[in-house]
Amino acid sequence: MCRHFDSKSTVKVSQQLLRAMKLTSLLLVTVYMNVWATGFGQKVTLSGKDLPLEKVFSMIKKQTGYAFFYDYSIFQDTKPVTLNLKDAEIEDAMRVCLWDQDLDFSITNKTISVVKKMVKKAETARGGDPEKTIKAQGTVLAEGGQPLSGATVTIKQTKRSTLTNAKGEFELIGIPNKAVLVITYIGYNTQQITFDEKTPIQVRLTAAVNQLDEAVVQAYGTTSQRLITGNIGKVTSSEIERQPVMNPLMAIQGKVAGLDISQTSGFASAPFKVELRGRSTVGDFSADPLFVIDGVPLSFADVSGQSNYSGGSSGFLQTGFGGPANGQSPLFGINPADIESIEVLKDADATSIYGSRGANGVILISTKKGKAGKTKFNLHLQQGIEKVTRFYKMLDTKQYVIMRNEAFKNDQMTYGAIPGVTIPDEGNAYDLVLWDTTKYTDWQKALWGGQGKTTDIQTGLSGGDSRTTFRLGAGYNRTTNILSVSGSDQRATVSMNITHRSVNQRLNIGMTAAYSYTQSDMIFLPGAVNFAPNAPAIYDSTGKPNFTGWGGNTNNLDARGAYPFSGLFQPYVSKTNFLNSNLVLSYQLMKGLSLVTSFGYNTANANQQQFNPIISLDPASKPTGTSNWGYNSNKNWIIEPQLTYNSVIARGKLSALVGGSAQQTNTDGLLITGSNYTSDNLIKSVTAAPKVTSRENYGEYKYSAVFGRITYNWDNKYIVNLNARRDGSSRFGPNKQFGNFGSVGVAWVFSEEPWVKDHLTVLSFGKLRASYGTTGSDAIGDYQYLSRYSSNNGQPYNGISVLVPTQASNTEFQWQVNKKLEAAVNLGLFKDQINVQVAYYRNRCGNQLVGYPLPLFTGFPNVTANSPALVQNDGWEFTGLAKVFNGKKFSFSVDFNLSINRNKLVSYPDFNLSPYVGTFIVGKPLNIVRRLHFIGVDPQTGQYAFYDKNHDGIITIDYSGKNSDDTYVLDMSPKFFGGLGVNMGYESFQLSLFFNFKKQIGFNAISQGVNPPGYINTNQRIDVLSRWQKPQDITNVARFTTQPTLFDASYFPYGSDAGRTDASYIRLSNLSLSYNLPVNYIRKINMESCSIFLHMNNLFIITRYKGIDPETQTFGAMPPSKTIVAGLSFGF
Amino acid sequence: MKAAIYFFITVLFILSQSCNKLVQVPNPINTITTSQTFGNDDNATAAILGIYGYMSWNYNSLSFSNGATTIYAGQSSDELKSFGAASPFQTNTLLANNNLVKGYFWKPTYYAIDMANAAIEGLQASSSVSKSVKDQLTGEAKFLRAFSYFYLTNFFGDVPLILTSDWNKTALLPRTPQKEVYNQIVKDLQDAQSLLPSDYAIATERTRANKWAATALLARVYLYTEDWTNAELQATSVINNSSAFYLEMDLKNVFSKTSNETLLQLQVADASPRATFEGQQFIAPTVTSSPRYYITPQLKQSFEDPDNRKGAWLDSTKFGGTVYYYPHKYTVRQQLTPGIIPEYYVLLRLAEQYLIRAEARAHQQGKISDAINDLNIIRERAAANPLSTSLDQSQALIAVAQERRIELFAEWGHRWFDLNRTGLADSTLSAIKPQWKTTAKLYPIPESELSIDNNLKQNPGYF
Repeated sequence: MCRHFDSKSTVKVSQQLLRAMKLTSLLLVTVYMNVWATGFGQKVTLSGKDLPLEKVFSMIKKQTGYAFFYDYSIFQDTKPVTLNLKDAEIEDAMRVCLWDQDLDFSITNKTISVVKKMVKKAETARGGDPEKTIKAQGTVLAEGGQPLSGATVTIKQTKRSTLTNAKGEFELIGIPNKAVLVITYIGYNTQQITFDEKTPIQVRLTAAVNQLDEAVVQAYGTTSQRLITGNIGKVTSSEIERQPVMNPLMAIQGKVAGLDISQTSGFASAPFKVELRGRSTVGDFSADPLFVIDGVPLSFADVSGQSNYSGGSSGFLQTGFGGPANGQSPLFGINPADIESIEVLKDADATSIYGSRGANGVILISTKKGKAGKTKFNLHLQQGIEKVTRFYKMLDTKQYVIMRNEAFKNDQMTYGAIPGVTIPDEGNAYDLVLWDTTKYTDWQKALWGGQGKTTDIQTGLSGGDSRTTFRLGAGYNRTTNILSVSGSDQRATVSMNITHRSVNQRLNIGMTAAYSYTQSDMIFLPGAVNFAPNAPAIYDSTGKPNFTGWGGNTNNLDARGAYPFSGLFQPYVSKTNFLNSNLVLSYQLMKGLSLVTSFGYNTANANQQQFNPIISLDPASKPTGTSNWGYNSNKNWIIEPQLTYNSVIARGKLSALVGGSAQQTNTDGLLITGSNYTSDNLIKSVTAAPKVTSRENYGEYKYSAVFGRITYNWDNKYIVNLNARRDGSSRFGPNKQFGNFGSVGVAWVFSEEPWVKDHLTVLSFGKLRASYGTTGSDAIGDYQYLSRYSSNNGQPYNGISVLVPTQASNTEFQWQVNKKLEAAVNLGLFKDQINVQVAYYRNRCGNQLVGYPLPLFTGFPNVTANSPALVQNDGWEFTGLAKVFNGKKFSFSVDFNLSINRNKLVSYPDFNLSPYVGTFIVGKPLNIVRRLHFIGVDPQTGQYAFYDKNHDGIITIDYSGKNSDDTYVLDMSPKFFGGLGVNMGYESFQLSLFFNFKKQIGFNAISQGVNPPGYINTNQRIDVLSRWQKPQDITNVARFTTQPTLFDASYFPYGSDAGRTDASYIRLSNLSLSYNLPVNYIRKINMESCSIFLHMNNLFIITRYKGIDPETQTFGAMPPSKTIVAGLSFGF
Repeated sequence: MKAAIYFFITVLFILSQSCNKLVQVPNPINTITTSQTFGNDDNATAAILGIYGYMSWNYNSLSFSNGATTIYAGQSSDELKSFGAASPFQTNTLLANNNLVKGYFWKPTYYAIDMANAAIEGLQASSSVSKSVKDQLTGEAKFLRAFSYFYLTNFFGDVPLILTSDWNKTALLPRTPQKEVYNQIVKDLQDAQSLLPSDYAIATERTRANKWAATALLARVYLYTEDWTNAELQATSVINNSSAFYLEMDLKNVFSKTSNETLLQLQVADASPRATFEGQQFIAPTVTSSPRYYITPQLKQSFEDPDNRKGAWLDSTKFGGTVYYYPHKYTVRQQLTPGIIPEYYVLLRLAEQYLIRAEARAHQQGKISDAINDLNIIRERAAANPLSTSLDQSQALIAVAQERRIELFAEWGHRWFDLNRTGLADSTLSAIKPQWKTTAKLYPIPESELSIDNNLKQNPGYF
């Protein structure tokens, strides 16, 4: 093939050759566009009136460097050109030039060929002129009339696309008549319209409600399950609203695959342990993910050092005095009714842009926003009750007395009759000698037998027009707990959201603020189940603590000291003000390019008060009163400037984001203790305290970052997503402050491939995706690198304030690195009636930041350091949603999630010299325990017996784990867990059920009694009656004794595998029934909607576990309750 | 378009330039750095007082240095019983996971040692603390370190010998033989003797260690290591300083904070309305209350007649028809007026020096009558009959043991340590305690320590 580049010599090129060239060029364009991403150098800016075509061509050539290829004869019939182009794509420029000319063109590798048009007779015959290309103009709007900027408008036939500008306007030139325009926008249903010369057109997109296309909030933006390259789980407001709970975390329990949430105590404000995809470090720091509320990270410094792996973070309470609930969940101040959605970011692709703080995953909480349209008022009222699900079966008084006497008899046989030891007297058996042995109290009912009440009122006002929307919300919730004594939690919230756009639509302002006040009244709860059933009453005849009743007339100090109910007279209250606010300013600099700046501020002030009045203490000890005052302050601001750029390049959409982040957190916890009060009247004044001491925890945290993200989406078929972030944190020592993180995610929507579309019609959606990247963690305390002294906790000595060292210091620790790998397949079947996702992930965490345990003889129990442990979590997650039936009257859908995680300590250099040698085993999960193997009760001695694995004649525990008998390994992490939801609708009725399930091993409730059966003032579960009584008895319960040795109960729970048991369960965690009143009826009273509902939580549980609840395994702790509420919801 | 790219680059540049500043935080307001601590005399002194304060207070909890040694070692031996259910100390059935062993005897002792180590290092590195203050403080730190190691090694036997606050160097240490621990104690006390002043001028009370405290403890250490000559030498040197120290003739004054018999006291930090822990735990609130601890019949019977110590240092409560006697050396159960404390913890007192010298002399032929004379000085104050100076050596040693048992009962675990070091524990305790085992002489190393440091091995008899 000969070529003449812009040559004046006439070349005869056969028509056939030309046609072949056209085809080839088309193919080449397709391929090259993808690779070259024909961006910036090839734009054309041209304007002029009646310019000769030949001249225009040479100008384009000049600007772009493209060569032209044509026969001179083509200019014979051309018309002069009038045009006004600015930064136009070369292809578009050519189209404009050849508008209304009898010419065609094609572009091949920087060469533009221009030829005469060939008339296709067949099409002409149909009438009209399909070859005639025209200009299409239009506007893309959302339902409420707001322009959608950045919507993609694609010509279906040619796959050519453009983006809408700030006003939602688009312009496409040179499109064939009757072209089909496909308009897509994330979070909205894709719309197709046939363009028929009526211009301009207006397109209104409706928000998507199907799982694949509805908006999913991601880091610094939104996406959808269809287009995402990473893994984000979402829980919507409708699921959250069904649950009568105070803490939003409780509402997402079991809803998101991979996310394991457990509450640490029965108090509503208590911290949660939140763990995403398994335990990743050998350390004991809390594994909480990063919480981000409306773009503002909820960060607070753990200055009290109270956070730990099993108990979660103590949240806003940083005085070191956690109160009865041992802290306060930072999300307790967030009203679940204000939440629009909660997104859980799991893999590297989704979390890596949070860099250093994404190691444990990220949970994004987005509050409700206003919608344009009629101003709506919603009112939501509900009221209900709470009750304990069940009680332990304990010995009654008669059985208890038998147990105690038998214990003494057994001891006499073993040790002989020793006064004061094996012969019951008022010292070692006040429960038998001093107390009435016929009295009976069921202490569980006495303490937990109450009925909690819950009241919830929520109101919302929302509305707006195409430029301004707003939502105002207010709510109040009061829940009294199941304690028969006292205790309640209250929360009042006010929230607002305003969005506004300038007339030219370029400036966007969004402001969100939520304020909440919470108050938790609690008491320190005694572990109720264990007291002797014949123990005297709680109150004396005057309603005061019954010390005298317990100690009897003889003033038995031991019996008086056993009085456990002082806490009931020692009120604790925590009052928290929490404000979270965020302002986002966005300005579109030019089409596709916006400057966005987000300002966030949140502040939490928690005041704690706790009083130990004289009345609550034993008068025999001549007590004085004490008051505790905790002042917690947490302030947090963040500024994040970002630049976003969206553009269509070839058949792909490019989105780029560059941003920076600067954040500062100040946390202060001050605990003031007033003591030596001699009168209870003064106890509520700390200034009246004869003696005042204080203790302060303080931390300042600064954090800054630059980050970027590039997404390229080729025809919704191939998607690549790159993230990078450079982070600096003040928590590291000099020269260790910065770390780099990044990720890559790819997705292939294979259902867009023609061979799938043609042959697998049942498959409406199919995507393969994979991601790999790094995240880090700086979730350690502040100033851990400093060697320092404080007088904080010291008492003065010789009248001088003292200084004591506060921590073991280490200047060397640095960023932890988590490497996350994920691959997944998403399938939509039968027109997306069934959606399934199967994901496999493998996370590896190395260079772990841990509180490295030190022997106490070094002076401190731990030091912040990097551990060389390499921990791997890998697992499978299955999620599915099936709309089994979706008729007009009746609908039925099922959703399902299942998570299987395998945890493994992959390697640990010099493990034998590490402090973990007694805790972990290389190659095994982290949450293991090494136990002796229980083999029953020795028929001769009546004591527990264990398997002598090393056959050395004695039972030994050796912490190196080498040659001892305690090598039975139990893995305490859940084997799998998940949830199953069923939603049914029949006409105006809606019924939904949600089940949680978990397969796990837990503490054996039988063996958890701190003291063995027979011990003084210690009641036991009824199961102990099957105890050993005489030689040759074969049983699993040892003899009763008051003098426990190693082979009585003390090693049974702690030292052997019998202390653990299956604690798997299936729980009906939520049942919700609602009825919408008929619309035509309520319209008469000017109401938009009205529904009646019934919500029930924790209705029943299926388990073989013998305690009250397989999740609350601590014997005697306040159990989770069941909640039943009924309510009304009105919309005006 | 180009403008936008420049903007991108500029924003990135500014951010990356300011990054360093954006992650700088000032030092925390509620603490000072170690170099500031040892940057001047006052702060450095506060760091040393921090050790005393910690030993006295332990965050309002018992510890080896504020009464736990008296109460628990007393139960391990044949002095004390707890009322009600027998404690594992009393039955000598401690387990390796016993929290009191860890919380009262292991942890606070090593914490005090760590503070002393850090202070010695900080003082050594400091160029801004004056020479006299540096000597004084270093001497006190060494004394406190020696004092802590003395109790550690007597409770646990071989213990890791930690002489630096650098955890990198110490985290994996095994146990050091007791002999080396004692060598270090002696070395520290000798240093302390040379560094410390011989008066109490720096404090208004006898609440900071001086040369005499170091000497007295050194005498005890020589006695425990059976270096009779040096024990006698050091004890004599204390006894001879009769202008500073003399026996309080009124037994009721021996434990008062103004006692002239005292060589070193720990001030009671006035965090709570109690006085000493011993006072709070031993003294029954009313004469009919049940006791918390009471002395064993064996101890009760071993008091002679006449002996004023029985009346002065014991008290009783009649509960449920039984009279229980309890130690009453400390006489105040709680502060009468908040902040006013009449008694401090008595760490070292002169009477013990006489008993040390008596024992050291009784081991040396030709000095037995001198030994008896020392015992008689103690006995004379208690109005007990004097012993004959013609006792032979074994009789003299029995007399020394008996005198120590009575004079030092319920005080700093003397009886428990004496039984152990003189080899009498097995014969004495097996007779009255059915669960006694010879391995119970040493407390178990806390189990959690063994699991963290693989080089650490448990004492025999525990697992």
